[in-house]
Amino acid sequence: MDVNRVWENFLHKEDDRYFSILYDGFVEPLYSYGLYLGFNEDQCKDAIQDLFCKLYFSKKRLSHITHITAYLYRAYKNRLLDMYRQSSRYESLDNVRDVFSIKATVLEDLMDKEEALYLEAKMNTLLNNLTAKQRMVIYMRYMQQLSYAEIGEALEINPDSCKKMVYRAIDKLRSLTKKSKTPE
Amino acid sequence: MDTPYNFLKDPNFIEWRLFRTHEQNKFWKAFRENNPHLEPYLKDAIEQFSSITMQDPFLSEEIKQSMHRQIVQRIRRRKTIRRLYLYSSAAAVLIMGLFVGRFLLYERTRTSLHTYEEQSIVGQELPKEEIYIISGEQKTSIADNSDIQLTGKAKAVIIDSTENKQELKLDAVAMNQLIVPYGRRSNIVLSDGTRICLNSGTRVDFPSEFKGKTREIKVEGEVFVDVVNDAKKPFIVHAGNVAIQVFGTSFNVSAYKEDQAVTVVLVEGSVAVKTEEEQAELQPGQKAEILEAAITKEDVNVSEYISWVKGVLVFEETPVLEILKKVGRYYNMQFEGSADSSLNARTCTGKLYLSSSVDSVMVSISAISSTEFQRNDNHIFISNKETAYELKPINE
Repeated sequence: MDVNRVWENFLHKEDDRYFSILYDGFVEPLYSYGLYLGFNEDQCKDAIQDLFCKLYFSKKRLSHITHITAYLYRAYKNRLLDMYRQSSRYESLDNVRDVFSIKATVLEDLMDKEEALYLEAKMNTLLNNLTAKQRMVIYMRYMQQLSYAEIGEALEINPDSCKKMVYRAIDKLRSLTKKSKTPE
Repeated sequence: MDTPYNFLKDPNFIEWRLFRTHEQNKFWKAFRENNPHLEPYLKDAIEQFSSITMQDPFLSEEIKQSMHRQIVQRIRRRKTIRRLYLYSSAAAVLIMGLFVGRFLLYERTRTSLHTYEEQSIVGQELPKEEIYIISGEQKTSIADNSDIQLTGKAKAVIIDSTENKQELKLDAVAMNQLIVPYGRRSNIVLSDGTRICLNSGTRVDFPSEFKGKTREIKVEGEVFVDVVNDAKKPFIVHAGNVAIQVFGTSFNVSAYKEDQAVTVVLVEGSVAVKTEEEQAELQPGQKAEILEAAITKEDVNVSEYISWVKGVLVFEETPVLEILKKVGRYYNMQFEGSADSSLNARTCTGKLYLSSSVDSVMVSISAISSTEFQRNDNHIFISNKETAYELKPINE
């Protein structure tokens, strides 16, 4: 079932099963997302638990939310930032916001090791050439398959500029793939 | 295996598999039609490429489930509290309060990342319940501010605020219970002369007489205990999984179910705190905090912990939500705020006299902490003053 349908059901039916479906569907992507944002494992786990407890009790106030994925990403990030703020009240947040590190890995059993390593290195060089924000939109668009509208909501930017950001990131990747000729 | 063409090293192929753009799809569709002999290799390459994944951090099934269990527990705990409130009936009475003191406001959040519902705290006034003594099958309601004195021989005398006396028979064998709901407080003097002040939302299990070799009672919630010294009969208070052994002394125990930790603060004398795993002795002015079975000791300002006995709450750099939790217990109101609210980052220091209406408490709290409160029947909404402009549409 589509997540937004699950969300609708959760909002309007008194059935905790839908809550569990939401949890199961989001716990891993959110956990990864938090780590990519530079938070540690415990912080990510705590924030996820807080987020879902809140979700359960404030569903009446959240009925206007239609894109649950985007909402969860946004609320989760805010929770993480708040936790960070509480632990270090006077530090700047800038260094946190500018982190987004993802890494590609190749499952080796399908191709030979040398080739796998080569591809892996290549992918990671490509990704490292993007800015943190670009990596974030690429991650959401292509790894998490979010729509532009959803990414826009999750990151609190306009869907159009979000689309532009994705295109610009792809253009950059494209020019980089073309430039770096294969060492034969 | 020798491949006539290595797709995996073709930038075009990589771009296609990564982004599947329209033009790339068109190109590769045509390519497949024109090169059927390469099809098996292309298929292989596609499969191999799909084995590239983002290194998503691993979260074991076990951890996922234990996190889920913890969430469900937290939800249950809060649900039970709510249900208790729903069953009660009588109308609410307001008491006046006033915040005096020095308030330290910590850094405000600079960004407006939050939506309205994340920024506000909602308080709900709940109907009042009665204080009860449960003794065997018998349930007796007790007027507010009554003194209960156990006189031995399975009897208790209840003296209400107008000096009316009432005698009550207790269960001689089984434990009796004194239940004080949120919004009320009570005092009881046990058969040995030990005095217990019960804070709101507290239950104490006690015998009508201490017959064995020890004097034992059970506490859930918060109590201040002044124990009469009797070296031959040690006094033991059980709170959750903690046992507190007392040697003629006065101390405070806070063991609310919704708080994870049990805290014991010693005023005079000495007590030993025991859990399954640890044991610690407290000196006057020390606090023991027991979380799970681990005990942590700390020197504290005692008045902060026992001031409720006199109808005053003392706070020292206490987070707003924590204050509201205590105020809520006292006035039988339930405050709900998300833990991530920026209001939470603020702390207050001062004394709160618990003698007037909730409204005036709220006026003081909001004036001093730069928040706003709105009252809507028995709901109170607390939010940041800046909320108005935080609600502005983004990107438009």
